[in-house]
Amino acid sequence: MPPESTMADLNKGIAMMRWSRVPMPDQQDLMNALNNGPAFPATVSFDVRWSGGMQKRKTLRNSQHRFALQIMETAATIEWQAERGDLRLTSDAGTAKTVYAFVGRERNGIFF
Amino acid sequence: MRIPTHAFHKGHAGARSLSRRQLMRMAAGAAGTAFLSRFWMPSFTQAAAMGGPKPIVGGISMPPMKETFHIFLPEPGNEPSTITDFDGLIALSNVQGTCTRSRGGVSSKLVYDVDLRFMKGRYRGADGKEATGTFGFV
Repeated sequence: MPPESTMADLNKGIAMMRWSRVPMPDQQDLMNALNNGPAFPATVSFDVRWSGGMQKRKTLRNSQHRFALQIMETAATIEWQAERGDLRLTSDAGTAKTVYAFVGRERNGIFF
Repeated sequence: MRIPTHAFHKGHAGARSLSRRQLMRMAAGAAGTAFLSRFWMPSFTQAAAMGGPKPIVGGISMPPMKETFHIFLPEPGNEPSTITDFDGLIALSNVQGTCTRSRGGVSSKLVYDVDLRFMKGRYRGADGKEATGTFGFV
């Protein structure tokens, strides 16, 4: 991704990821995607914002999988649009509900 | 499309298996269409061999498929990065909502469930060299 398409500040618990018209195949359903079935050329655009929520800090160290994580749990909102020919899907404003979101720092593998 | 953590059990080589029943439930939840990045697919492993970041070692397996998908679900306690030998910032969002599908003047409402992540920092690539980069998972 272009570096300027993302921003994150772990201390403030905010982040942003924004990208427009990213080429991405539409594989119609998950089973087809997992089986590497037919795909159609499409584009997606999205604007994700992390902020607010409980702002809960957590740390995790997993020696088995060799990763260490410092995170601040947040809320997240997204606006997105996908286009495939004359088919368009657009997120409805104000309906985004956070299931799980955070901003963090991870070290894994040789940096663990 | 939600799958609880307890739906998985640890398998060999760090992979966690997803049963056929769980997979079907997952697939049934993906109504309408699926726009998926392929960076977590097994083919990513082959891409890494040509340079760039390497996928995490473990991931999800979905029997009877033999491949490991180099990603863990967006759940507390799971590794969020999809690349290994990485040190940097990461943001993960699992968000649900409604969207409008329109085509030829006809529109309808659908629900969506997305998992979007980015990783930004230094990594050691498949070529053994250290570099910096920004990587998205959509």
